[in-house]
Amino acid sequence: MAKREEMVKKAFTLMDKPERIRNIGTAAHIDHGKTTLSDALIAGAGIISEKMAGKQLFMDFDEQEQARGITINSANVSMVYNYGNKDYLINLIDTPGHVDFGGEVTRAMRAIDGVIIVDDAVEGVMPQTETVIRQALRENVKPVLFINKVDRLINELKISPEEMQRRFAKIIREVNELIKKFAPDEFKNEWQLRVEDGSVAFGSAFQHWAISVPRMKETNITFKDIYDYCSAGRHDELAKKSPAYTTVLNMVAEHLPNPKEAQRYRIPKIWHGDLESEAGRAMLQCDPDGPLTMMITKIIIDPHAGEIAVGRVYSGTLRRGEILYAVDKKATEKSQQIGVFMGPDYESVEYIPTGNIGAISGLKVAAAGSTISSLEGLHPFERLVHISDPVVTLAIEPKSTKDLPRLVEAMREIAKEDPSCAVEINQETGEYLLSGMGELHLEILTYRIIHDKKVDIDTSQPIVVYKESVSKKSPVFEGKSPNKHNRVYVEVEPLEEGVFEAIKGNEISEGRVKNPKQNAHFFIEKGMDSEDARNIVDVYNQNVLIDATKGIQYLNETMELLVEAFHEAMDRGPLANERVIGVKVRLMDAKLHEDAIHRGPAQMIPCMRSAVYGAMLSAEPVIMEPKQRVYINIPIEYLGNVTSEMQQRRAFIEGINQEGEVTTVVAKAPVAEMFGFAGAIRGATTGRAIWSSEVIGFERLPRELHDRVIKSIRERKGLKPEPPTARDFLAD
Amino acid sequence: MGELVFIGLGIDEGYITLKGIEEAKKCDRVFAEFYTSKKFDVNLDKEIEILCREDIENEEKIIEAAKKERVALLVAGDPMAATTHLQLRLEAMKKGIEVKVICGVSIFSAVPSLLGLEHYKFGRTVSIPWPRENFFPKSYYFEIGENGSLHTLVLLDTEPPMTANDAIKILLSIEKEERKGIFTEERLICAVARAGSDDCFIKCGRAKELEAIDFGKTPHALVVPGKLHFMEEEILNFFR
Ligand SMILES: Nc1nc2c(ncn2[C@@H]2O[C@H](COP(=O)(O)OP(=O)(O)O)[C@@H](O)[C@H]2O)c(=O)[nH]1
Repeated sequence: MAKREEMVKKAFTLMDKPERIRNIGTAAHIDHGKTTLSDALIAGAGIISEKMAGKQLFMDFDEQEQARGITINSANVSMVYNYGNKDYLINLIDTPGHVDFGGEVTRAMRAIDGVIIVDDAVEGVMPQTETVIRQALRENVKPVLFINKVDRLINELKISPEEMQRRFAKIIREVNELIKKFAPDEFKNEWQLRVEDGSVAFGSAFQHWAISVPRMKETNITFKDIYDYCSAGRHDELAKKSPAYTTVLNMVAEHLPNPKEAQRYRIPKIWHGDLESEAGRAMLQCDPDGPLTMMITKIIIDPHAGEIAVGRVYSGTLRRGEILYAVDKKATEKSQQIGVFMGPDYESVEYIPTGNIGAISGLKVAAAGSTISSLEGLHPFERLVHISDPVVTLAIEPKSTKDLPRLVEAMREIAKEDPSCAVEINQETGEYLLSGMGELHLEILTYRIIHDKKVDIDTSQPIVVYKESVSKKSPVFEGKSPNKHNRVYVEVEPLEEGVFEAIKGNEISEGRVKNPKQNAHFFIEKGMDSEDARNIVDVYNQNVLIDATKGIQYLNETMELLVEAFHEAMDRGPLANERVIGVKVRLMDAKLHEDAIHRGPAQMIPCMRSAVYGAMLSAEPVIMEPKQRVYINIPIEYLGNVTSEMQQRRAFIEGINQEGEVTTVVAKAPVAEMFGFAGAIRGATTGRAIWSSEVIGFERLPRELHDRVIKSIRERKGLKPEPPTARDFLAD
Repeated sequence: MGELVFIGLGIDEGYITLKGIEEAKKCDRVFAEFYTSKKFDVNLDKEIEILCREDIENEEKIIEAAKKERVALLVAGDPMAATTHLQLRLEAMKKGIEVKVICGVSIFSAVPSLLGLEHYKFGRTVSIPWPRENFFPKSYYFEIGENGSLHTLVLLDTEPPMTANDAIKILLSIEKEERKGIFTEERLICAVARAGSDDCFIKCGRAKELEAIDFGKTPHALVVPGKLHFMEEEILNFFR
């Protein structure tokens, strides 16, 4: 333990030296060894004993993660590492490997400057390897590569040294292609990985050894030596000669940027305020004396300390007991305690300077994604990208009604800890709804409510979340106000694919468009007609409102109400009261009463809403269902079983790849058909399948299922089974 | 074919005309709506069916009745003035229903009369709705300005009833933002509370003076005088 205390002391002194700090994470396709590698690094750095590492899955300290063997939360660990006679403070953030939890991955990426991409030498580059690389590069996070499970190539697959090198070359080539594709222009070449310079390492996280070209020179170990050691099962010796943590942390210290370097190019990407302002300059320069700016990337609910907000300090110095502003929430906060994580332990400190990852307790309103600052009016950090909205919902209720207040509190906490889930209390039905990214995600969330929050609950069958949209352009539809003194004329059509994707990917922000003429080019670049683009009023839930009218008196003081009505219509579509996506609503004309008293909310909201509904119902409205992409790794002999299992589930097989003895089936399947898949696939493959899935968005529900799905949603919501038609909104 | 008779009830109890009573008595069914005014008693020795806003906005109920029978619709004020029932009247005419209008005393004529201001010197009337989220129109402020040398009658929201003090506050707050000098604290204005009733209250003064006065129960109305004739000025002085 003495070693640990010494290290903590060193860590504190390094916090003031940004050149010596590395904020890093690991990212990988599921099961490629991210957690095992993190453990090996921590063990090497001496926070826990070397023997324990690997077996203990140290990073997975959430009890449930251990049971499932999946990393759910991004925990952080700070450690001290000596490279080239200099001490470095390495803040390692663990990111979840299951894309069901994609929201967590992007949040972790915001806090770090560099990432170790872990890739399994046996499986090669998998689709989710691509996903995590894309996520890192989108945040200007620099990658290095660790090719893992090399022991298996040698011991199990028994491939030749030449074949081994050929495989490595293929993986490096593919990763470099992805970097070329997704890195920002200025880094497409600079960030290419090169075996010779040590930005790539190989090894076995499990056996605790790793090697790179620079390390080969230092240790005189050759590829052939590795081959020989492994074949002879002498992993321990290899781990002594070239430990994984030395090779990998050398790579980190050498090739991943320090916060000072990284913030120069990361800040313009993640903060769109005035870079010339005091705060802007302080962030670009990582100045500890500037105003405090910090982005919260995670909320942990601790049974003793309460809510702990974890985040990255980008400028200034965070101090204990300070008054802070949660800029995006427009609230004043006070930091009661601040600290850093050393594994599962929280070490209290007095101050945390810029460039570090720290934790604050005592914040009340801050959530993941919040901007914390000493400046009240600071421009907030860019929103964290959500991969997708929740797609499955559970209605939950406490077993005993007296637990209701505790359930409400537990749900609120869960939503804060995990922003990729959503909680909602349905006022009409009195139901408590919990929504998440898939069946597994919901299982974990309910497990947390029962075991961590200790509230006994009953849950409904999972309900799929559908969306509504339109498939063609409508005629112009007239809406009248109840008093008949006002009319609006509206048409709708499907939103351009490019614009839709750009909103989804956060390239185009949601909300009111302040300077439509100035911002038109964003929309035009994505395929929108320039006349529309110059007249955009509002972007809401991947729908757009356009004002195509000219010079209508009183429209300016009525527009807010029309926008409110537009939101209402987009929140509850006409077919089944599900959310609307991908619709362009165009206001063509309006006739407004000159007396303001005759065109208030009670008149204009129903007027606009019924016009939008009528237009949508005249535009071949459609129901959109959530789809998942499913990756299933199996031995080839199960291929028939797997494909037939998938076909029963309305799945489309997108590809079947074979790499060595692993066959990968990639399929796209409706979320609605994937319930109970875990059990079914286990049965179909006698437990040999390793699978993962990610939500990829919404697609049209097949025509033949339309009526049935609409009817069942409407009945569940207590609506009359038949959806309305355009005629119901025709004003007489 | 039936008939639809619009009958103005005037601005308070007792303001209905003899003609109005006579016509109402001749009808088979008598409807009344009070959704923009306080409800007041009308003695007709006949059942009066009170309509809610939706009934009027849907029209159907009245139109259907008027197709078969003689139907009276009692409306506070003048039936074609403050709350316009033009839509209903047009609808009836299109359906071939006979329509008759029995005029009533409305706030439009009552307020100028009570104040002694020349009726023909009024410009466009404006109304002030309660500002709420997403709805804070200011056009009425500019329209007072556009009336220029003409007087402006300012009607106030009824849901919930707005006092003269509320209205003055709102106008002053817009003045503070827009700074067009249209409704300054020094501007001479008039307030009429409960026009036409026995406890009618009239007051004239600077906006900031009236803002502090208690006018009692609603309804209230304001007038922003334009250019005053010397006799108008003289009578307003009586109300200061
Ligand atoms: N043979 C071998 N197995 C490994 C190695 N690294 C990880 N594993 C195993 O692969 C499985 C998945 O590893 P884990 O670290 O949980 O993957 P993660 O999902 O990326 O965090 C576990 O059973 C590990 O023991 C390695 O280098 N060699």
